[in-house]
Amino acid sequence: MQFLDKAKELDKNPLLKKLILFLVITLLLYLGLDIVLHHQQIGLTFTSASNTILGNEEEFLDPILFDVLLEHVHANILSSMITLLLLTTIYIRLKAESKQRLIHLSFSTAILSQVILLLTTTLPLLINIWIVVFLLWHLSAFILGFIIIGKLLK
Amino acid sequence: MKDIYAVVIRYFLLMFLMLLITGVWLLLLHSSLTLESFTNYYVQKTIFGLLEVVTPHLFAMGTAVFILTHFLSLNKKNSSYENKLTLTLFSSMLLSNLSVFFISEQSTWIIWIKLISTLLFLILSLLTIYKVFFRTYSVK
Repeated sequence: MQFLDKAKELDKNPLLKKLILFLVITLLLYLGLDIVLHHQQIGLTFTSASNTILGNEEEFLDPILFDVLLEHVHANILSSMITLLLLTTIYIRLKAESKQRLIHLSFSTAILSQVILLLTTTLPLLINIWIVVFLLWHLSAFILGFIIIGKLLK
Repeated sequence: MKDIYAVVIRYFLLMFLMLLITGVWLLLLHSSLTLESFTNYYVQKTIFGLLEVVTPHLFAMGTAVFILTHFLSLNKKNSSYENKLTLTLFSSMLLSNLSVFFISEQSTWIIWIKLISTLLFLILSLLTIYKVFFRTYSVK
């Protein structure tokens, strides 16, 4: 990740500028598709998420197996960790007066969304909170990405 | 600047710790904490079943361990202790992943290599997390 260290010299290196731009666009694309995938796999409305996580006797739906959910969380921790690490590192390098609040918000909501998703199997009331926190971490990552793109295109 | 980097690095460490916890949790869920169940879990898998487990782990663990250990190289000169720690961490990770291909009904003892290397990987990861956590960073 040494190339990120050179981000301050972007004006002298247009290729590096384009590289970072495409990296951020790819990460934003990933974040958008991640929302679609979660909507398909778990559901991002209370009813659909509740049907997937807890099952529904009336509709003959079995609840998701705990180890499947844990595997899902395990993989999501890695992808969110790498996505946010890349976005925040570029953001800090490009904006000298970086606001820590956005960084705290994106990381803490990403971490919380994984923990809450696991807790929903025992505390169904948390399903709504999981949906909000999940969307919030994606939104804050989107904001980080758009700020970076705005700065790069200036 | 320095503070913001420390914040990001600490969040990364927390997420790395969560990865370790969920990984161990999954391993324990797939077996019932006996040597026999650990062995059966791998013996019963076909070569493609093993590849399905090992392939994403090689990519994910390789990347995550690289990011974690490269934080040790950000500051001043590295001690030989840190060099050895990094090399042993990578080696134990590779051994833990690749040993599963050699576990069969005739060579069940290899499960010990898998368990010891996994345990070593966990201990060394925690040690590296500890070392990175208490480091200070000088940003150019």
